[in-house]
Amino acid sequence: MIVDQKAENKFSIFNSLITNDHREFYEKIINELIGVSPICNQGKCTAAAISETATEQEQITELMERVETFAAELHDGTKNLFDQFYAAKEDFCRSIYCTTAYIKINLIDRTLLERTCDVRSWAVETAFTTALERINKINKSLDKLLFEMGEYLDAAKAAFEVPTLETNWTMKDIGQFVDDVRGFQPRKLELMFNQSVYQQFKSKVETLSEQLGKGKSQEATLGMLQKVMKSLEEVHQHVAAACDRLEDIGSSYTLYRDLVITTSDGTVVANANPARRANVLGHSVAEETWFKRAQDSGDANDYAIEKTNQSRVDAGDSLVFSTSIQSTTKNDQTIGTMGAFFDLAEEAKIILQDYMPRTEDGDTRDGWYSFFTDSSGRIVGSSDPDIIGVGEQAHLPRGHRKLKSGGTISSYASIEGNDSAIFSAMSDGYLDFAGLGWSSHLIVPSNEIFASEANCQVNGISPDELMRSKLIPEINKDTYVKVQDDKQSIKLISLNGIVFASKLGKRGVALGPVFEQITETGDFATSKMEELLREMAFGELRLNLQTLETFSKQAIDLIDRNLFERSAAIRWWATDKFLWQALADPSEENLQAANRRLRDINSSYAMYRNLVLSNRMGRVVAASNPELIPDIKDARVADHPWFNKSMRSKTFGEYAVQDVGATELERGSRSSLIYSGAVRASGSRNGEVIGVLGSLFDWVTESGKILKTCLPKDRNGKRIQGCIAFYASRDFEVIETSDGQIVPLGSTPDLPPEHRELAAGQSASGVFRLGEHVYIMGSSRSKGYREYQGLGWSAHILRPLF
Amino acid sequence: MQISTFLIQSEAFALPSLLVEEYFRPLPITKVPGSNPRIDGLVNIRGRTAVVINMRHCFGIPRMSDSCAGEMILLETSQGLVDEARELGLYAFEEPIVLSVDSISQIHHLVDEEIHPAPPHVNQPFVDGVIQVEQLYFTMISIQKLIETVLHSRAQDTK
Repeated sequence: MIVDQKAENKFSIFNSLITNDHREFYEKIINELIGVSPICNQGKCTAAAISETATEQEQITELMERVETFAAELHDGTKNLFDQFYAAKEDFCRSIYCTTAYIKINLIDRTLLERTCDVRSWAVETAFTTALERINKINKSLDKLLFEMGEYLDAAKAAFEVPTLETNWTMKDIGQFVDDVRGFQPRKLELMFNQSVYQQFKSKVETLSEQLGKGKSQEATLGMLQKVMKSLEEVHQHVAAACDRLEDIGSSYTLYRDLVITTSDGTVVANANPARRANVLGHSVAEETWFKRAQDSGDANDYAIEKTNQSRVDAGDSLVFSTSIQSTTKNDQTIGTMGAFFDLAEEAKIILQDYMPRTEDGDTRDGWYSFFTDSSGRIVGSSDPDIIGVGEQAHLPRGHRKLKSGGTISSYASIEGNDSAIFSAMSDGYLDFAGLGWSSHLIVPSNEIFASEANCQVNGISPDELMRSKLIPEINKDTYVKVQDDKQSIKLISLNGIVFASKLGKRGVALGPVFEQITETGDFATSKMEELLREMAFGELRLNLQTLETFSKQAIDLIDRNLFERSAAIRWWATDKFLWQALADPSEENLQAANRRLRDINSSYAMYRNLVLSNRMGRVVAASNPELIPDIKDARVADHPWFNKSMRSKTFGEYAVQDVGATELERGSRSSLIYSGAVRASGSRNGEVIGVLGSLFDWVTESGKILKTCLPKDRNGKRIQGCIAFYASRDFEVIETSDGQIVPLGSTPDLPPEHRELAAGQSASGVFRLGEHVYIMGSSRSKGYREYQGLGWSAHILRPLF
Repeated sequence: MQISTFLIQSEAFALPSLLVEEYFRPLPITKVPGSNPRIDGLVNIRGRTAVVINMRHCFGIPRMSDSCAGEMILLETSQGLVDEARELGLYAFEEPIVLSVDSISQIHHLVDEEIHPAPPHVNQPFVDGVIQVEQLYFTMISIQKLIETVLHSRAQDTK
């Protein structure tokens, strides 16, 4: 880095990072100070010429010497000041941009953690295990069946030689048909998984059977064909059911490119994406790493993550989450695998292009890049793939390639011919998820880090108030005091000199200009230094505001992403078999099964306080935690917004939200955010709505946790005292706060207009006065995440100035 | 003539430069028991003891906050007056006196030495009048009246 606290690395005006403005600035001060010495010499000469006594001359000479010493001090002071200026900026930028790099990788880690939960919870779905077990069994028996079918057909063909058929078909026709059907014998996988091959086969078999049925002693052959058809039909039923289920999931979780189920030998039996189905089903993925690793994974809790861009399933940039599917009847027997193709390219694009300054046209500013590298230093995602190419080895200084988990580093390098600063942070995983050893890098043009802020102005705060605030490091405050002190000293020295000269009467006139010059120089130098200090203070303020914007954006992004997961989960759960069965036939047995299913789901998702199933009349029939609902026997939700919204939902895959607030479903008055999804008859996509599943998201706990992570920290990673973070609803009512004393829940703080009138995804920052407290505040409005549009909320982070 | 100007709560005052011996930063003040509120106490300037008159108190303005230290003006003693001052008939006290002010501003050369009488509403006993330098007005302090008033009342207090 350019300036180090170490003495050998002091400020130099020749350093290329010093801005032209500052060079000019520095030159001016130094020139003025250099002028002091000749002036003082002139003063000393004048003293010698005009003094009548030795004392008089001594007094003037002493004054001049004081001025000279002082000028030398000012010279050093100026250097120190610039030193501090650049060190402070550098330090601050290091902290803010390393944090930004870390936020990005952390967002990925949080998403990936959710994905590891997804694939594991889906893999135990009974629809898949049943399908796989049947398909595996039929698959084995089909070899023999098809072989036998061939034998029978050969025999039948021989029998045709004797005209036993009462048909107008020629022998040749029949022979051709038999050969055709027989020709399918080696095409087992296509028959099982390729819809069109299966249909061709089916129609040929049907025609042939019709003709054979007219003959005598063909029963055995007919029976054989029927057996084959029955098996294939069952396979196709299971494949359709599994595909249907996968499609349900896929339409709830849009961040996957595709989801597949394979047999244990690597044949794809079902997928979620109908457009790709014909190219995927029946094909083998046995050679693909994700499959091999899933096959090796011990049980359903184990999973593998593999990056790929050349899978049989999908050629896009994906991260495949895979796990084995276990038999429900035989313990520890792997009957297949599930692979979930997470759309890495899209996710990386969203995260990487975010948190970047934009031009007026909405493009990322030139020279700013953001990208991820994997543990081998290869680029896995880039904000600008034309310049930082995905798949290539990143050209980064050594230190940036050797980071430790959670570590950060910054340095200067030339990137694409631009003098740039690189800030990197390595993933440290999130909760149970250890991370993939990836790093996040942010490139910032170095001239933007040290850009002049001479004209920087922030409404609502005066430079003096700012100088006194907590934002300004003690060292700068001390310098400010010192400069003002110096200013006073030089003023007093020259005023005393002028008074002294005036008392010499006419003799003193010659000294007048000397002291005037000294006063001017002193004033100029010290006021320039004050200017620089103010610029520094405003720079500090601007970076602080930027930091608060970043944190508020992180706060709203984290909640948006969290709520996206909630909206995806509710849509999927609402299609659960146990739920629609219990609603269609509310027998004791079915209701118990629904209760159990809800409890099972809830047990793996700690962020819900309850999952509640209501019938179409608005009566609660099952819940994951029935004991939490007051008066469960009589609980009705017919007038609850979440219930009504979902009852009215028109299309499959819709969900509804009831904004944060107290609900009768909770004892006490805890606030919940309720997500709901319609349960449709037979779980079918166009089935009639027969009830609603509602999930009571533990808003207070979850949002409180997120707010805490977004509270500003100092350069040593310690939380800064007195900071407040809160979420406000669309109507600017506080819905969660980290400090209920100053920003109480339910209150509507008088936010400045620029913090209220934010467009989706926009951020603002500025000074905010709340009662007798003065804060700086960063605010960001929700922009949603993917198809989750957000609820128009905003996040606000406050840092006290005093 | 030259005048030295200073500020008291952003109001500008002036006194003849010839009456100023030296400007300096605030020195530690030794409080004197029983003295009147216009007198802060005593300071030691290079071995000489001087009485500190607090100009804010003379105008009935509350003391400055601790963060603003203010500045001090040491007045010439009658002994130290230069001839020019004597010729002008300027008054000086025998003992060193220090004026404690908010801040010292600058020194002006007066071309037109006319001192306007103080406006009728000003009934401070130690104001000589008002002096104009370019666009600025300064209240001229009468050192003689100031010292007489302050020290006289001190004498009364001690009785």
